Amino acid sequence: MIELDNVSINLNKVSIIRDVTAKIDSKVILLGPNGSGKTTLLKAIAGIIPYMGSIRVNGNEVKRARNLNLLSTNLPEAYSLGRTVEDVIYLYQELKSIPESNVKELLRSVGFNDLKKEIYGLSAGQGVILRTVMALASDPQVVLLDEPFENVDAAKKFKIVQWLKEYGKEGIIVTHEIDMAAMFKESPTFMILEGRLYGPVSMGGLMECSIEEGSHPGSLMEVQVGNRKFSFVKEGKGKKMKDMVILDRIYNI
Amino acid sequence: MRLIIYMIKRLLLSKTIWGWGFAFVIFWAAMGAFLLSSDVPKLQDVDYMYTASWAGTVIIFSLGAIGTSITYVVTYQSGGLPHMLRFSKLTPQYYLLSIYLGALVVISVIGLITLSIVGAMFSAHFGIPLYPRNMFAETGEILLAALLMTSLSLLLNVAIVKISRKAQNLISFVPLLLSFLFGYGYIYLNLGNLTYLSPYTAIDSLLIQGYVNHPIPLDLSAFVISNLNNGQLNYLGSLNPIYAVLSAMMWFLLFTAISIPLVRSLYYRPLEESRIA
Repeated sequence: MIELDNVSINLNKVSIIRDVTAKIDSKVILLGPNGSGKTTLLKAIAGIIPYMGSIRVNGNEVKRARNLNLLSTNLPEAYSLGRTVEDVIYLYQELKSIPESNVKELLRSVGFNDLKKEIYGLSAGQGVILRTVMALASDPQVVLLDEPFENVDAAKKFKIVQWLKEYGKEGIIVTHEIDMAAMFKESPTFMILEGRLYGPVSMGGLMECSIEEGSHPGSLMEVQVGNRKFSFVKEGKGKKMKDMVILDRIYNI
Repeated sequence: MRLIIYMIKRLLLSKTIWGWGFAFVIFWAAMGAFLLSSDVPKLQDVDYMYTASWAGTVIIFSLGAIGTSITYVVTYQSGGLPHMLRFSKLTPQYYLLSIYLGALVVISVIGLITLSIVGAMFSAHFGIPLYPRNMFAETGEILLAALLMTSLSLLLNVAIVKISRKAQNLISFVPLLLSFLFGYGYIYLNLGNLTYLSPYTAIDSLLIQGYVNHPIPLDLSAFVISNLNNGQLNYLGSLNPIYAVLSAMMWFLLFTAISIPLVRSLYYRPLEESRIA
């Protein structure tokens, strides 16, 4: 379980996350426009950057965590040991207790066979696939996945959805891809806007909503952008979320 | 164990390390043997001392170059450490051990080959065998030097990540700059008891003493400048190797003791922070 209590994060003296509190005990989807703080929040939970407040993973404060082999992530920063794909697999198998067969099997299932390649020589999509496989192959208690579909071709995206459902008991999946997110209808969904966390609401419910300005009684969720309020309304008149193709459109509200 | 094997393999196969840590210093040794030695009289004791001074100095240059390369290895690996130390089996001790053992192997291999080539080149020039007289001591001193240089490189890099990567381009070269400063300083300046205090001169002096296998002057500069050309080996005050070993070990332990808690408290800093343009 991930518990966030009054978490604030400043990077280079700029406030990115403000006073976020949440409890995550299943696989949740995290939405938000570029620069809203999604990746920053994942990095803080993964112990990569400092934070204020409290972040606990299975009751352990991340700042003071030592050798808790129960959380994995696909954030690129976590894979700085190793030069080639083979090196990374070799080293992380030991350090993260990943079964060798799992990694190679998952990579093979998406046609990823070039293990001699240097990490920096991988295409953007290959990099995402490798890191996502490394994060999931140990079937960890908690997974933190940042844009696991980014730059990945359509066929492999569906394979990744299958992996996300199969591996990892709880965690956070960050994505902009509404068609992929819609496959997690039952998943609690959070949204980050201007450093504030909203939710959780169900992904299935959110997809049926349209966005209306101001407060609306019975709205699924209300968010604030600048000085304006917006509501996600199930019976609204506007275009429904599921019809927007890419989530970026809702961020332009 | 895998991280240790990986580090040994990668460091041993690094072209940068072989280029700067071996080929470059062999070039300087060749200069010392064939070009800069024209005034040195062909007397065995003097030639041995001259050869030993060059051997110690080029080993220090080699260590400086390898230390700088190791600093860069750590630079690229340090991004993942904050995550891995919290959410994997990695410990600061295991990480440091992998770097130390990797460096010990590569520095030992390069150091011993360098000593052999230095011996061969100087022997060829002076026409008498001038190989290290105490290989056992030389090997031990190279190992001690490897630990010292690696612990310094690691500490410098951890400090960079801790403070700011903007200092990367300057601090990474500190091991190399210090090796030239103290390498030449020991030969041409009277450093007195500073010889013991500086880890570079402590190692340099031990390497020279191990090479000739008899006491050497604490003030090597006076010896080099006033006595070498006269064919004399008179000097006041010998180096106490125990002090030099203790000094080198103290520095190694100090650097390591500071590094462990610093590694523990690291957070990620983007490599891009060190970009100039």
